[in-house]
Amino acid sequence: MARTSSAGTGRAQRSALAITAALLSLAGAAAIWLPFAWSTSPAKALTDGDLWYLAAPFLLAIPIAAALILVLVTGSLRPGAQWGARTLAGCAMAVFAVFIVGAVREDPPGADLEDWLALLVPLVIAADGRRS
Amino acid sequence: MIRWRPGPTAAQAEEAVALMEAAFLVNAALCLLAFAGEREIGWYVTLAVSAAFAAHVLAAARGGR
Repeated sequence: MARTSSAGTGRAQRSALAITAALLSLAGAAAIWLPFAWSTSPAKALTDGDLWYLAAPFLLAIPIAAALILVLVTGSLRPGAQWGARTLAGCAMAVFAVFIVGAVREDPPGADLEDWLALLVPLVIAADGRRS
Repeated sequence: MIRWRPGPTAAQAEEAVALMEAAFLVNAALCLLAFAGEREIGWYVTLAVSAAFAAHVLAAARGGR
């Protein structure tokens, strides 16, 4: 009985999280066109050239929003959509890896703590996301 | 933590979404840290979105165990 109640609470918390994530993912999709820094939005950075590899993963907010809403409404995703999600995640990680390798080669982080944080925090997240 | 095979259950669908969210988070963390001194509206929105995605990824990971 207590276990059922606890499982129900856990499911409810996960649903609330999924709804929050779905709503905020729409904001994330809108953020593609909002100025992020230096009056430049990810959409502008995509077309301007130099920082496209930093801007491209922001586009993930659109399929994430679509997938979160689909999961909320239908309760699942088709296998094709799930493979698509994995492929998009892999592509974004690959773009990030290429960027990190290039950036470290070109300008290795020195004694600046902010440089090290900008390098290590994403790597820790990437390592945790791929752990199985 | 996260299975790599698709399946019909909601948990498996959430895991696929969580992988996209993790990929988004990796880049968002870099951008949030790198541009912390030049914050504009998109920076704050990305911070809020990242917090929600991080919580969802953690919940999906716990559910997948």
